[in-house]
Amino acid sequence: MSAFALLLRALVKQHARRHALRSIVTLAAVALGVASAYAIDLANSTAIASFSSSVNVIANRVNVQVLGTGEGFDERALLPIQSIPGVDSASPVVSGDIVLGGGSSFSGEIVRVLGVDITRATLPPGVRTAQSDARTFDLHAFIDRNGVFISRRIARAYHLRIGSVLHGFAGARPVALRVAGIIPPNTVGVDSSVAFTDIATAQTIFHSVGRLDRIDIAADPARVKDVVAAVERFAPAGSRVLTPKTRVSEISRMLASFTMNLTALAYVALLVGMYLIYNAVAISVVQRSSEIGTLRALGATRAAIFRTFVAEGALYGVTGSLLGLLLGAALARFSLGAVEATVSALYVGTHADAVKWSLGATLQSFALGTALAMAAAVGPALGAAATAPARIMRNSGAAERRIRGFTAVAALAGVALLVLAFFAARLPAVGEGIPLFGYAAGVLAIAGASLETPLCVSLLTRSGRFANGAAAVLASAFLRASTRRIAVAVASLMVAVAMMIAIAVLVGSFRATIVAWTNDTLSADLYISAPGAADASLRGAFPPGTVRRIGELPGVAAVDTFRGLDVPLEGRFAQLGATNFSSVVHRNKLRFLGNVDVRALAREMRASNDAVVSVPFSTHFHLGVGDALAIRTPSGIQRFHIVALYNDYSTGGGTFFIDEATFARLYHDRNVDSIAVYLRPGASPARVRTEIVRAIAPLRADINSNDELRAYALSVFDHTFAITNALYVISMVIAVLGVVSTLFALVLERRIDFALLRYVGLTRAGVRKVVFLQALLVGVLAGALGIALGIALAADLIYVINRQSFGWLIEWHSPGRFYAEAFVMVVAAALLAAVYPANVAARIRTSEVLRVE
Amino acid sequence: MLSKVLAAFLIALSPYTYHFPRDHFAHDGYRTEWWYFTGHLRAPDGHRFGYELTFFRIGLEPKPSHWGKSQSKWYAYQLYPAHFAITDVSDGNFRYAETLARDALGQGAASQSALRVVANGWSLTGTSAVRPVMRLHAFNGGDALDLTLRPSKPPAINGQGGISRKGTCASCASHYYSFTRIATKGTLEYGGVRYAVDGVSWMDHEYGSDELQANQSGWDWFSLQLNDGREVMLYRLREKNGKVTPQSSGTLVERNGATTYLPLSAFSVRSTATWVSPHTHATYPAGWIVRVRGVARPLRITPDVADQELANPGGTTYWEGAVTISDAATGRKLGAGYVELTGYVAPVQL
Repeated sequence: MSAFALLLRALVKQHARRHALRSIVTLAAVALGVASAYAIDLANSTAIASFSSSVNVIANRVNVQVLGTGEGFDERALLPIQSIPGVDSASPVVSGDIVLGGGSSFSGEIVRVLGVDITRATLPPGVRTAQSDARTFDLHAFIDRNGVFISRRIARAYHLRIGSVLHGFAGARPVALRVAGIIPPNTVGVDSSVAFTDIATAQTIFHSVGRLDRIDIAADPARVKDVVAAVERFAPAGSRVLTPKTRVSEISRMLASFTMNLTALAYVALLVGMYLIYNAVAISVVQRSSEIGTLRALGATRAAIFRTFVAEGALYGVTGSLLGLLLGAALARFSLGAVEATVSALYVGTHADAVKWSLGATLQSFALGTALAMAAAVGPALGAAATAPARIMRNSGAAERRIRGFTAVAALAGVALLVLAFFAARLPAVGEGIPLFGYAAGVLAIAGASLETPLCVSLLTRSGRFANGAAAVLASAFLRASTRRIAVAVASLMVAVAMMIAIAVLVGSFRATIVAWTNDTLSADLYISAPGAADASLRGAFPPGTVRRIGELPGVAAVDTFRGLDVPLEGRFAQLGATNFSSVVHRNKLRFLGNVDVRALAREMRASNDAVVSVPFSTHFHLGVGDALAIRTPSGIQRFHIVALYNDYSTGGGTFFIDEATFARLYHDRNVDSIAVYLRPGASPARVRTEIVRAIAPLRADINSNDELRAYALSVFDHTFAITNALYVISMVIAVLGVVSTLFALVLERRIDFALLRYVGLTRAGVRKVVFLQALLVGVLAGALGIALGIALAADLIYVINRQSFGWLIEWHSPGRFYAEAFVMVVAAALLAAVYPANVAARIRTSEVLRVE
Repeated sequence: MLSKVLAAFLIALSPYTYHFPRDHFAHDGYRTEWWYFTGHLRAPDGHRFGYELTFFRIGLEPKPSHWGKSQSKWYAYQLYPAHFAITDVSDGNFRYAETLARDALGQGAASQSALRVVANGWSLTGTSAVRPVMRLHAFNGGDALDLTLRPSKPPAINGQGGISRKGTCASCASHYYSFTRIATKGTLEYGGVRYAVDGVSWMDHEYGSDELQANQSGWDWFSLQLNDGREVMLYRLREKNGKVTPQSSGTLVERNGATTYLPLSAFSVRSTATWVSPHTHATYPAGWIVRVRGVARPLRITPDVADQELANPGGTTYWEGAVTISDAATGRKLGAGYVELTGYVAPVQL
């Protein structure tokens, strides 16, 4: 056995066994931190992979794609493209979403239908063997009118067999497809919400005869560049040419700010765990200072002692990380649901069947957990290495006395970091809306505030006014004697409290902003949209005739319409919205920035290519009032002039609006996606709703009242932030574990003092009181500092990070009562954490302890 | 459902009189139709090749007369699969490719008023004559074929009364004629190398609906071009119980193009060797002794390359290969031919 191993055994293993509780608490903290980081990592990468696979779903060998926007492009574009030299095959795709259900049963589940030309598309092998009754792929069944291949999951969920009829809605129109094949699960590249049909069927049910959404090109890999250049020459209006790789990287880029926000939150939990490791190692150094002195006297070098304590940190790191990976894998399933819900709400619909396990993410989380644990142990290990040989140090020895110098230095360094944080928060975003400096400001603020904690602890404990009564004096003295460790406990609780405050303020403010926004913008009485419109990609679900029929109903005073379309802009997609601006202005539905003469604006917009854009749009595309954007439309390339900005929270990427008259003129299309209905005074919403259902038949629509739509918007919002709440709860649990561990250590250290005090007459209750007072001090300090830091972090989140990554202008909203509640909660948590240590202290048997000593 | 669709198609009935050039063109009234080209080619440097280029037409359902303009052009009434194979006889290699087109946007087409069949850029075109001058074009990566074909003899009608029987059922027959000797000239690109080639081809044109009996598993087909200027076509339909369908038959074509019908009793085929496919593990016969009434010498048929298997194009695996014909007794070379072996992996479904 090497000397290192012997040291490790002498100093660490035995100690860990003796202090099993603290070891377990520390491990649990590391495990929780690693688990949340790992789970979020897996969930994020699975969500992105699910996008990628939907991009590549019939793309075995596809290396170039022509991608259309909402309306698609003329199918004749296929002919010149397929004869480009180097193009081995060019497969047309018509895709759309159908919402399942029919008659009385309406499930609302969305299935993405890919219409392909089976004679050229290389379908995934699972699709080719999808028919249970055919030995070989039956072309006829596939090409047959209204045949569809669905996944086994969908087949089971809706009790469908080959030959059954699948009912659903494409937009508002009912469709009935015959199940021609059932795709086995785990078919590579196909998630269970994808269905395949013949391109002719898809063109018919999605009302896009003559149009394609995509062309998948398999080109000679050596000639991809030439092929892309040639295809670009033939690319029809409203399409883009790109390689699947660029598409995937676009998607990850689009999601980058979102995934980064979550990752950052998850890592806070890890950070709080790091404080705990620091604490644990520091305590074990102090507790064994006499052993260390002896070992040094026996010839152990400083380096050996240093390594031993870093190894202790590593031991916590490795074990905790392994536990964390197990826990994280379990949590990932939950996180995936939450991540997908958010991504679908903000960006595009997605559905992954299972968490995609990744070796990279696993190794990364493990390495990170271990490395952070070792880093956290470096400080205490240096302290241990500094121990002089054979120096017998009592509990409140020189190490703690040296701390005083440290306290001053730390406080100064902390101030410097806080100043840096302030300036970092003023720097702009990096790249595609990545608020790198915003995050840096957050980390700097956390580090700076943490460095202030030793000073705060010593100020508070020295303050004479605090010392009122024997227990208070004792508690105060004990705390002062262990300033550094107490400071670490305070810091970890403070960080957790700060995160809780920051996130609560962010979410609360955001929610209040959304409520105010919906109050302003949702002024109609009924909202009509195609079934599943919130998640499905639709193309003009309602023809102008339907709008007219609704407008003519007796109880209806007025209708507004909305049309949305994804259009290519600067190599990405932007949402184009079309509505009747004079009505919007009349009802004051958009919240414009600055002074805008809305009436003049509405007049101008009707006759021109003027556009108003949302703030998120302006942030994403770096375009503001006075700028112009060029879009390919069916009427050629058009320049739109931005005349105003408005606030909006409904999409991640933002929208630019033009007048419906302009849209009809450029796109030759008067269909609409959704309709807002204003009732005449006294009209019954329920009756009008029934009349609408009758008026639009056989089309089907979701009709929501104003209240229902508002409730829906808020439920999407709450769902979106569910995972955020879960993450801060985890941080909080870790921090409370830290308080338990610290108080417990203090009690053990003070065994003799407690024994002596008991000997001179302190009651058990008195002992408990001392411990609880210590906890109270920790809680008060962490609560106060945490709230201060939390407000700073909330400001960073609201004014820097969210604005830079999403362009959301959130109004600060935090009632004072909330802080009071948070403070009480933190102190209560600290006191709760003291219950067990207080009991242990109260049970110390005076005679035994004193005899041993 | 299938039978309902089939009821809409014509079946090959006797008597039937061929009208050329009309019958060279497509017959959309029948469900299945193919133009089958095989041949032996030689480059000036002596490099020898075999080729197969086949265009199929499969009717899914007859096109309605009121075909709406607002309907998707992708509605498929016909499918056009095609197979293209090159045998490098000199170096012992074999490569094949398939393509599949539908009639949308003109990617796949077979004209009913001209000799023009197209499948994703592969094509058969020809003049409107009883003996048309035909052009063949196909490509696959670095392989390509561009040939001009001039039939040396008039079309040879197979079978009796205008139909070639495949079994006893009413529809178990096809209309089937062949150009048994076609002078061929053009270019062949093989692995990116271009060869000027000339040689001799064979064409089968066959159309019908629901031609096979349920108990049949496949067939062995021989096209033999003898050096004495005569040709022999034979097919033996195999049944799942191992028997040969009695309606199997053949045709003997004289130097002047005159044909003699060969009932099953007029020829014999004995397999002399087998070959196991490394791709599908199917066991194929790989050498035969063939005796034909009217041909004096027993013919030994030997594959030029063992592996000429087309694994699963369009869901059917078959062996279609260039063969050499020699005198079974003396070993003297007597001619060249092509052999087609189907149903050795799984029963053929047309």
